[in-house]
Amino acid sequence: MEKEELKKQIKNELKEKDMSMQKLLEIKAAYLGKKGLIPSLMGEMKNLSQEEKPAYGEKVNALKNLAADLFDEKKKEIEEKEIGQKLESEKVDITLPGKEFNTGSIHVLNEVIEEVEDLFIGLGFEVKDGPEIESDRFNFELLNIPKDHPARAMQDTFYINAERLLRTQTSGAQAHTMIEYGGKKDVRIICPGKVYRRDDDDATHSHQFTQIEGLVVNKDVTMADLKGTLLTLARKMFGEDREIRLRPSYFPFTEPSIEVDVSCFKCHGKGCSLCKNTGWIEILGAGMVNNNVLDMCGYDSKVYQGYAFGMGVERIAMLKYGIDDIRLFYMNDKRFIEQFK
Amino acid sequence: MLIPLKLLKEYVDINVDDKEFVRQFSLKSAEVDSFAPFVSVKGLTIGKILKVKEHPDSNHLHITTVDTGDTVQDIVCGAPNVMEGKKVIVAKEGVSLPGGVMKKALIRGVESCGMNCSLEELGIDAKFQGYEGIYYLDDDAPIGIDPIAYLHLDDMILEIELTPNRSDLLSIIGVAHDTAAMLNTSFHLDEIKYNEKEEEADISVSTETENCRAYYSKVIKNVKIKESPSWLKGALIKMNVRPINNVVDVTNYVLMITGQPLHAFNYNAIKTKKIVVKMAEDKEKFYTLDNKERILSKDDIVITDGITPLCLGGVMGGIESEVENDTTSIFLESANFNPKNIQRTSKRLDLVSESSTRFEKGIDPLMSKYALDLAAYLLEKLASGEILKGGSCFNNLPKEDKKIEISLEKIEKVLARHYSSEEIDKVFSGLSFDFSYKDGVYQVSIPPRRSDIETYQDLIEEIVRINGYEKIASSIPASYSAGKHNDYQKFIRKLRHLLSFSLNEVITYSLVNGKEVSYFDNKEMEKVKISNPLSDERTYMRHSLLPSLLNTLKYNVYHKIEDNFIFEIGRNYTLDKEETLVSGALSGLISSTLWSGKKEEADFFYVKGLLENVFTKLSIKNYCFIYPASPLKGLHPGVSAVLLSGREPIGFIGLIHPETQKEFDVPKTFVFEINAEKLYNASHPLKTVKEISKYPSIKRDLALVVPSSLTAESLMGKIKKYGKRSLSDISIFDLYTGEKLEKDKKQLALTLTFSDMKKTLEAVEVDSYIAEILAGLLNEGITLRE
Repeated sequence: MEKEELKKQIKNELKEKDMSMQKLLEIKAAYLGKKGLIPSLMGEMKNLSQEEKPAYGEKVNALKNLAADLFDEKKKEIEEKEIGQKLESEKVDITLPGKEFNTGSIHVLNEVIEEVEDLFIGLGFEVKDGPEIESDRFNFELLNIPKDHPARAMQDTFYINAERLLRTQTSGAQAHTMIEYGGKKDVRIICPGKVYRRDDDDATHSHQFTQIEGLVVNKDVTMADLKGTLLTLARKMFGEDREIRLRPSYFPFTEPSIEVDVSCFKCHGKGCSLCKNTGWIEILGAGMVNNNVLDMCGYDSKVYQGYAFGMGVERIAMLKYGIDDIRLFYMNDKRFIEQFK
Repeated sequence: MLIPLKLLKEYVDINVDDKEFVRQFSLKSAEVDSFAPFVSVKGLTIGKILKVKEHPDSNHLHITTVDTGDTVQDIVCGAPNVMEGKKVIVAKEGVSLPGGVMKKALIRGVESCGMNCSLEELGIDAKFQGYEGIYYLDDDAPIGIDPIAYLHLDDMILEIELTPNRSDLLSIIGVAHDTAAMLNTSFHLDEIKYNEKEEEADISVSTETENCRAYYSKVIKNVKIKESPSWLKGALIKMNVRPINNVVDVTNYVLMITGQPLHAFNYNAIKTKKIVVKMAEDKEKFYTLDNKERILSKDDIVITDGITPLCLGGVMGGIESEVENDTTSIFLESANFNPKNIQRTSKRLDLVSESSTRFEKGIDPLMSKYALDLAAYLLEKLASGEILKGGSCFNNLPKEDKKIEISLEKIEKVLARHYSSEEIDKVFSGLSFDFSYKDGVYQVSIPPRRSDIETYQDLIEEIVRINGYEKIASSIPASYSAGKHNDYQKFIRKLRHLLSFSLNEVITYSLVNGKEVSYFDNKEMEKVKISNPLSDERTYMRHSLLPSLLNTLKYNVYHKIEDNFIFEIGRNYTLDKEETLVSGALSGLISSTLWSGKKEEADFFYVKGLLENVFTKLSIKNYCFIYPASPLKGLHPGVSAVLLSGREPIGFIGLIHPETQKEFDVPKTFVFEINAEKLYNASHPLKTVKEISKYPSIKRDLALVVPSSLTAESLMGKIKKYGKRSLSDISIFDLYTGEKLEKDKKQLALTLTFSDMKKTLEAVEVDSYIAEILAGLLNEGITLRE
């Protein structure tokens, strides 16, 4: 049998398109199986002379290789087809919704606190904490607000008894830290925390809210340092192209005292409803630490000076995310809090 | 504080446009709340009502024929007080009023060409009109001109918000001083001249208390009490003060201009011819001007005629000595009282007046005399008063000004800017502070109107604000140490972030009601109660966060949000300790793929597993959950557990009790509450790595039949006891209870893992370990499943 003839014959037998693997194996057995064509051709070799044998053997071997190649080729074709069919049958509608898990979120006030903490840690600050049930001494007196001081009227206070109260400002943490440091170590801290004022809750007032206090005390910190720090803060919270401006204000524990405005991030200074057409938005209060506070807390005001600032976290979050009602932070409506994922 | 710009300009030159003035004022002086015309309506006209006719189709409308100079038009008018011959404010077609733009209109068939206005319709408070209907101008008001200018109300009003230290800005003169300094223009105060009669003032004044520091007086006879001229009424209205009569208006006007409260007594009521200032008797009764009986105390200053009180000093006059329409002679007082007394009296009697507000913040003592003279001058002019010569007075205030020293060097040290002495001079002279300068040091004399300036720091503030904060540079303070969170702060943040992967963080109020405060408190901690709460709902500082979390759930469920998984990190409170808690409340479906029909609801093991996973990430070691020794408050006794760290209970988890569920009106909810500080103490982050075996481990599964009461944890404990060192891990993969087992038995299937550091374990070796374990367990009545 000639090679061409065999090739033609096998190809003809394998021409069926959707041949199953089973059928292929059956056809393969008819050629290459023990009783198949090729072994039977090989069997005829014993009838040949010694001289003819090598050439015949070589020829049959070539036929065997040819047949094997043809069957392998078909096998591969069938396999590929089968995999294709399997994959096709496994196809899913990838547009169906995925499996839902409860994915949680961080409260926006804590998100703002963390952002501010990270900024100040980068500037070499430590984070400090203080009690929320505070003494009159730490909440007021050490902050230069003696009894009968008009500033007490600015902050309506929840009292527990004559001496204990709910802190109205995180500034008490200033006094705690300065006294802890014993009037010697440089101070560079921020203190985030809850504060309380005796205000009825409405869209702009909350009897509980959150402040972040900052304090730096050393021998040469200046008002320019304060301005630079606040500029960095404003840019971190409201965008790199922000500017700030300082206006005179009054806090008993700082002198000079300032209010800090940031250039409006909505209208970029052109004037809009957010900035009440001024181009500026008030974000926090600050100042140079009043000498009375330094002296009362054990730092000699002839040697040391300091700056302090305090901001309302709710105010920052309200400005940043366009929130118009402070009660939303404490209502914890899932539809509100889930937006901060 | 309302500042009419025209009034301010009488005392200071303003050399910039309005917008720039307001900008500078807010940057250098005080916060500006608003800056707007007093009346924003433009194009109004004075008209005369020539004729009034009944409207043919209405029983309350009238048709007025109004002459506005250039035209005579009909205006349909609904005011009840409409009258022929009166001068009125007319808004013609096209005029824009607060209520809308004026248009020609048919009103019940009659064409109306505009509106006769009330003051309220122009946006002015109705109290300044005082009667219903349209506003009537004086009969001699000229037709055709702008009524707002005629009423002296055409002005811009600067509304400023004052900080408690700047009481000097509670007067036009005080604001003028600051304005002069910020604009570098001149402040002016005219000298006052009036005629004095030969007759001498015959009322002597004295004080029995140090709380009255100065007292000036004048006697003015033959005053004619009448309405004030429109310039005076206009000035008062712009400052939101209601005009009464010329005498009262003059005292109010002088108060607004100078900041010095005055009081006018009916001269004839001072029968003893003397004024004695003293402290009131305790429980003494006194009728104030508003005809109310006041019970006085020893803290109140009273102005008496030596015997009976005539006036509650600095707060309010008395009814007996009130100036009335038939009063002919008045005694005028300009005094200086101790702010503390005025503050206490005003607060105790809940009586706040323009006068008390200024006295309690401290007034300018140098103004007392000037204010009295200004009032006398105005009463001579406006009430034809005859001013008697002299006037008894005393002044016990310190005569010397306070002096403060400050060096250029100190200014530079604080502000990090070099100021030239010209710049500093300009600030001090602008503020009318006397000063001298020598060798880099200023000595500044502080006028008493600026009682807020006490130290060099206060002077630095004056310099930096008047010179401009924008001139200060920006820098970052040099730091020699790295900032950081301490380990506990890092732990709390990590805890928050881990929980927030599955749960929504909330923040709730610390103040709760009397029932909630200790609802889940098993330790019966001492309660902290607010002595002046706003409501019963917010009276106690909480001991647990869970009531607030359940209320949050209730709120959300009410809003049809069913699946709620929340946590909070917050404090509990006793008087001397605040502990941080981490608490959670979980209710509803943990996960769902609705189209596949697969849903998983939160249960005890979800909460437990969630916490265990978080604990693993936080390196919490040596903890376990145990059955509570006695039921936990608010929790299901069979589905709750105490979390132990070592042997110390540090928290709990569980299903809320059905009663709790009902009380809080929430669905089936699982909760946890753990002391975060104690959890932190149980955290042992990796210090040194443990060696791992190079050889493969061998796993064997066992199914054990155990008494139902035996917990999974104690079974694992027993296996560990009987197991060899190479037993490296045990895990449970199946729990079976049911018919195939004896009663009181359950079957637990476990996987045991064996490994050895030094060699590959042989199967036979492991078989012998298993045999030893089973033998040990058999002695305790635990058998291998058949």
